[in-house]
Amino acid sequence: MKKYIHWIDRKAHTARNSILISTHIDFNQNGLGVFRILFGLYSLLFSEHYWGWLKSIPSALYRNTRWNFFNIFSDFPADWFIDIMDITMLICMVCITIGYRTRLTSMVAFFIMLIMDGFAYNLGKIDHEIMMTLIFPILAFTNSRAKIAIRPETHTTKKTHDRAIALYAIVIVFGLFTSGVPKIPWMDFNTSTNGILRWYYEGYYVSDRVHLLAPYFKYVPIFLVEITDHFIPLFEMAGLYFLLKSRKTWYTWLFALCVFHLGNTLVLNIPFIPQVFAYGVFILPKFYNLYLKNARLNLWVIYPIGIILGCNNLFGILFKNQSTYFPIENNLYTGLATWIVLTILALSILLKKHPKPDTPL
Amino acid sequence: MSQLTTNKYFFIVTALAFLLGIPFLAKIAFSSKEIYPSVVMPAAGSKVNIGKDGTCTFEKRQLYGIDPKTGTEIELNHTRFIFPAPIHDLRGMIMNDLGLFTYDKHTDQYTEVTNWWRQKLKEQHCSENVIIARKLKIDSKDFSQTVIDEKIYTLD
Repeated sequence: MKKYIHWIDRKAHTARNSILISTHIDFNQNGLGVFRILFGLYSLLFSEHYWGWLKSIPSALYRNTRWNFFNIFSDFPADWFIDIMDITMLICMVCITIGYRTRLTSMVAFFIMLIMDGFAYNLGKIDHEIMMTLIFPILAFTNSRAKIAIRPETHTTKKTHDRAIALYAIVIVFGLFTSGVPKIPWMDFNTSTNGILRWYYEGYYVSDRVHLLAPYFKYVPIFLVEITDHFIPLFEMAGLYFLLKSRKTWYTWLFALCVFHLGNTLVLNIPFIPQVFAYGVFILPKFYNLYLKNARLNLWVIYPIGIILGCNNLFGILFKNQSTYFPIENNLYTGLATWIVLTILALSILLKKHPKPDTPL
Repeated sequence: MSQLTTNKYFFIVTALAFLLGIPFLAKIAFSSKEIYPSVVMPAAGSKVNIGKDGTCTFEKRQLYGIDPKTGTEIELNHTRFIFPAPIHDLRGMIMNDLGLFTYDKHTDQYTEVTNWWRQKLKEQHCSENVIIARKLKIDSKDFSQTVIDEKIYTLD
């Protein structure tokens, strides 16, 4: 038994080192600070974190049929509680954007999102937002809080920074793995059954997903669609291999993920916008550190934008019972634009020769 | 304690495997259940049958109201009907019988949910007392629809 435990321990140690190298983002550079600002501005602009709409949903639609921790409650929270959560979240997002007490506000935002999404999921579906929720601890435990901030917090250690990013990579890889495993039945070498076409037809004819390239997908030869049916589960399950192999393969997998989501947006009209920032944790800071590290950011432009957006959303929450700066219908095209940008950035990271890590890991 | 220090990475891997793996295994074992909070992504791994001519059949859930003037059925716009709830919650709401059987008819919660649906029916110019929920099988060849399940809800 001891022999096996030692063997697993040695393998796990090697894996840990490989993951730290693959996911390394320079501790001394500003990349994650820029990511923090972009994440904050996006959230404020599109009111990504807002649950005021729950106030108008009747209690009878609260559905306790899943093992949702929030089943300990039998109803949606009271209106005053939702308002407090929304306003606190808004204050946190403004603080995160401008970099004021980032660790505290990120962790408060993390718990609010975990709780409020838990209530919202009791309507019926547990959705993809957990990846977005787990970005907040990344902001709290990396150098994102020390860079380009109105009140830099410099007491994060490099060790914590590296480990937080590596752990998030494991979470992403595992999340995709859980999405890939149930699709194994798609790999049936049988053109008379198809998994993607179920997504496509139901989306096209039931959910009105008829935009961009969706009308043309039905003309794709069935054998090509069948090949994709085999490729997708394998690709989703293979993340750990790419993560462990090398930094180059990790970024190749991330680039392929961006292409995959771009394809989803174009053909199935499902933009999965929360994933933009989940993969963005690795792509945006890396791109900034590789290509734009000498760029001069005018913080006195960014800060007022964050505060103005925050005030706008506060007005919406208090007086209009909505916090949407841009209508939700724009999300498909917002998703398309962001996936195109992220794909290009991921490709440019792949093409650039990476400098060696700043200090030995 | 020394064992813990010596085999640090073994214990980290075991802890991670439990933390991440158990919710996932629970979802695989009990497909209608899902643990939250957990890192488990929705997958939707089912398939459609494709005919030799490339056509297929697939299922659709559709809600209908009744035109108060003509008595004919009107297909409801789902996005507007359940607004501000997101459209991906429609299925859950239908599975939950639109919340109409969650509470007794004499309760405030029942009155609240019936008033909500009445308002939604009114917005789409339908009679305010009937919602029809159907599960349809659609043939992609000619888009003919076969009703495979139907429920009629009376908002009294």
